[in-house]
Amino acid sequence: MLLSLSWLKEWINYNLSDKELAERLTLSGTEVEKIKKWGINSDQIKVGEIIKLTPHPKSQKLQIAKVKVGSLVFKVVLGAFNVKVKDKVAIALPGSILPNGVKISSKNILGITSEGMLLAEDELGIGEDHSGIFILPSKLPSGASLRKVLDIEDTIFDLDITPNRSDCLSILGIAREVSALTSKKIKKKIPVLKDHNDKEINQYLKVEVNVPYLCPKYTARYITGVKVESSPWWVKKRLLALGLRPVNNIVDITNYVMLELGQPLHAFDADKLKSDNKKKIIKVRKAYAKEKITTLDDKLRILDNSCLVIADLNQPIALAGVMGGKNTQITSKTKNVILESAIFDPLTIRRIRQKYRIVSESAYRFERGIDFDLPEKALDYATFLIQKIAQGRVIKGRIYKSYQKRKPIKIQFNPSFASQLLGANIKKNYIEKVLKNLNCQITKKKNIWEITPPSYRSDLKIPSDLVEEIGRIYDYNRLKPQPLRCDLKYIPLDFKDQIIQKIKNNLIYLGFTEVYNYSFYSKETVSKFGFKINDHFRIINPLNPNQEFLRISLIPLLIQNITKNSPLFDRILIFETGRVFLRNSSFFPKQPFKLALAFYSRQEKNVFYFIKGVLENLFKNLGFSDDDLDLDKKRIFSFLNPARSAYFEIKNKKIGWLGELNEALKQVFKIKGSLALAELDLEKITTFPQRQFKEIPLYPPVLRDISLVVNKEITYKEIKRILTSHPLVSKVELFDVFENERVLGKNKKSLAFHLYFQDPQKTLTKEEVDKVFNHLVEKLQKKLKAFLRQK
Amino acid sequence: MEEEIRLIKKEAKEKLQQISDQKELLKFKIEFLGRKGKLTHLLRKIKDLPKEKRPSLGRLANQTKEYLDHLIKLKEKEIRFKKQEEEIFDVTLDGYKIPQGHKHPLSLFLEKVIEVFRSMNFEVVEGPEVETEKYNFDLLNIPPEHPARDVWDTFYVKSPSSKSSFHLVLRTHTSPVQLRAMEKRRPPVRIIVPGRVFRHEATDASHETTFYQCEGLVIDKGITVANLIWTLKTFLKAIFGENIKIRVRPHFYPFVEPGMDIDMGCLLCKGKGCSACGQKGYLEMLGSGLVHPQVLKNMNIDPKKYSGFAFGMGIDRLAMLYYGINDIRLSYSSDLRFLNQF
Repeated sequence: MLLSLSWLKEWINYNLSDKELAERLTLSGTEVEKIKKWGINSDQIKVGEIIKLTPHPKSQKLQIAKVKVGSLVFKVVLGAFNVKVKDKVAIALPGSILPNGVKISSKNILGITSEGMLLAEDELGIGEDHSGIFILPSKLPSGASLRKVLDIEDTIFDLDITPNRSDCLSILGIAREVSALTSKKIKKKIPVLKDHNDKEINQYLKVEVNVPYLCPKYTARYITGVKVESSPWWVKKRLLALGLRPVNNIVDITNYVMLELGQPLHAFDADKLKSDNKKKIIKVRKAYAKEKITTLDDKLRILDNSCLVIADLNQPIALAGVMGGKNTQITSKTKNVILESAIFDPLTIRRIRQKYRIVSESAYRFERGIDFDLPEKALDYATFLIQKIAQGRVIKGRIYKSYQKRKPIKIQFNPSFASQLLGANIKKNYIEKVLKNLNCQITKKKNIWEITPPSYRSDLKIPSDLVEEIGRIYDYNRLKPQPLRCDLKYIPLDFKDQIIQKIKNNLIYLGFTEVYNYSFYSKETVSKFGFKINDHFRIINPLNPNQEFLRISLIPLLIQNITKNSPLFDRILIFETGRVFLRNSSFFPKQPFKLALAFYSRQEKNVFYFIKGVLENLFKNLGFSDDDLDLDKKRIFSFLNPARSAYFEIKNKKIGWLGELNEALKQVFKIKGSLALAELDLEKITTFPQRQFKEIPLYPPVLRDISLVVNKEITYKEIKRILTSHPLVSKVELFDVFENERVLGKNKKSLAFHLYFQDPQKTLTKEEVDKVFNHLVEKLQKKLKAFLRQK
Repeated sequence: MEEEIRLIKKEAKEKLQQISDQKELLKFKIEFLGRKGKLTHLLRKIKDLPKEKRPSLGRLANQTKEYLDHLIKLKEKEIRFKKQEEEIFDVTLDGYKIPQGHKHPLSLFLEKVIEVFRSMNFEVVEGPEVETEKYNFDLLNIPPEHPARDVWDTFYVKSPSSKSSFHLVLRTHTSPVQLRAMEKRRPPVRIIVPGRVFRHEATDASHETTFYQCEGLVIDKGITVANLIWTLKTFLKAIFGENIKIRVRPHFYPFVEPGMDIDMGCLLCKGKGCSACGQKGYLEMLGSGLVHPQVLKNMNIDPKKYSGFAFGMGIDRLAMLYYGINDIRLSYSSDLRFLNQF
């Protein structure tokens, strides 16, 4: 919210510099996000009077104005056409500097020397409009320094008002805060309204509130004979400074009072309402299905039963609290005005605003809640101002409908509770002073004080709320920090986190880089990978189509990462850990924590074995042995190469899979080279073995090589299982795999191993080794039809 | 004879000084100590001397021989060293490329955060990323359709298995884990909850749909705002250094009362105001406050007996500040040119 300091000063005298005020406000919870200067703060901008306008000889888009500035006359070229002779305008003469820092000099514009510049609203630093020259009030003396004759200088604070503090959405609200902070009293009194006629408002207007629970309060005034025109500068200035566009005096007053007191108001052109027996009728009701209204922003809105409207006898004339209708809009022809000041249900206002995507200052305030005692005060103040500047005659009395018996909240408060929660000794008389400055009523009953907050502080409900008030006024920064105390506990890291930590560190040492991807992907991704739509949790309101489906696997985005990086890198090793979202028997997803790896190489072919080696390394580092790890070759996903994919098992439990991306998907993702992937469910690992020391062998091993020829279908694992089956074989190392039809025969391959023979008790003799070796060869021949390869 | 030995010794010493390579040294050895060498020659002559002179001259000759041997050894070392010294070797060539992966900066930063809190006896707890509205909002004192919910722009999630769309959301903060954690714990409690959260807002250099938070919760008897300030000050100093300036600013969060933000003096402008801190001189680091009595009740904890504080921080923002990263989107870009820097 924007705050005008000059306006604030009408309400309260505080002896603080702008900077000090900003700091006090910020440290008491009303954060000042920006401080900006508004308007003109130098004497270089003068008042000029246009005495002649002629077309530019070379351009139809320009004209030449002769401007009288005091006794001097200047020739100025301008591109705006909203001025006429005798208009007073702001002129920046050569050498002057505009509020935005632009320096003005004489300029030749298509052959004509322009001796200065006439200023638009934005160039004066008072608004954003650049559509034409800003026309000044005609009474200003030409030649005078603009800021000396017009109040056009202010400091504006941009405030962050939290949703609980709707009472701060006005000048009055901030004045109350400043009063609480400085113990200074609020000085401005709202002037008392005098009604004019003897005829009662009831003879002019009848209000029916059909839905009192959606409109707990409705008040209205009837003003006749207004003169609708442009507002006086003192009104316009306030609106401009706080970012609102002046419209006409009636509308401006409603906005003015809203900014000053916080109560949104609406003015209707009374003559445009349908009357019943010469009485104007206003109904506060729900809209009928398909009822229509064109709102002030010229948009046709189709309504339904969830909308709250203000209607006349026949049709809606406003979306209650959100925006007025075009049909009863105040125009220059308006003579009689109905002024409305009400309270509407915040939730309803919120829904309407959201439904029709309307941003309005009025709805913003209704949504956050209005002081229940405010509508009639604001109504009378606005009526007073209309009477004053639009010469209206105020019909006697006001419509006043109130449907809520407000029980003031009483909080039972033990003042020592403040010290107890804040952790400092706060004196009782200080607490009393703070609460009184906040306009709380205090009734003391022994140790317990009964606190009644003012009507505008509906956020104060429980003792903790009062502690916050005391704390924020006291300033938390004055509290002495106190260390936490407790009985220490042994707190182990969660098992899953231990594994993740170890695996992550290990992967980094193995050359893998960690990536973070989004948790969602597109429908296109779902189908590219052959996943089922129906296996996915889905975002109902995605920001874009790429973020619609919650991931069931980390792989798809990991592959996109490879595509993205492969033009720059020949070899990419990446991994990600994170949750995926899987269907469950209940509506709530299973959200296991997964690890996914990808290894891409432009040249290397054996990427499968690389990833396999990495997995083995990871789990051996966690304490598992070779015997614990196994692969189960299966077709797993359609996006994988069917021959080169397998489940990864630890102690016969599937914890994930590894495989190479198939050729079709490689093409889709423009991957030139080899890509192997793996994905593991880390939550399936619930324990890892404790390492046990094994005696270092005292006797040296005997090394023998063995070269076998087998059918191609025989796996390395089958051969190895036989080789390691003998207790004296301590280690088996494959050192060569060879396939050549001409040498070995059809469908044959040769594998060569180093065999280590070792006995923990003694050094083995040649004969002993021969015996075991021959035994193994025999077994291989029998079981796998393997034979020794002839040299 | 004595004189002769001394002269040989002198001559040998002088000659040895001139020698600079192995070849010359060999020649020198032959000249003095070889079978026909000068000193050897003298030594042989000793046996021809009168008996009474033999012992003293013998000793002298042997000492001289030992002395020369010693000098030769030194010379040999010198020559060997000199040879290495003369080698032309470019140490500036690149070291071997040892494979090196990189941890994500957010992981690195989170590890730091966790380390600080674990050192203060906090437990690390996690929770689901798809949440129910009940945990994400209702139990945290954020009623449905309340303007307070505007602060948390929310992604809503539809389950494939249920037709009556239960109110699932992508959690907008890690705060729901407070409630889940307290279903299994009783005070005293100190936990932190790191994790991924989501906001339905357009992305730019400082906004992401996806980011990380770390939530904290302390519940015990007699927990105060002064405890809260101490804890968070200690944390920020541990991460950003002892000399930082810290400010506590009241703020509103529905699940705490009183609520406050912890600001840190801008590291770039030292509090003067710059574009990084929006001319404020301070950067918002953490949201915090005493746990709202209603939220304590929702945790089945008696607010009359216990009090507590909670806090939350945006890991991305803090990590960006820590590492000087200027665009939050880089974290989720998978760009190796970015990741390889960590």
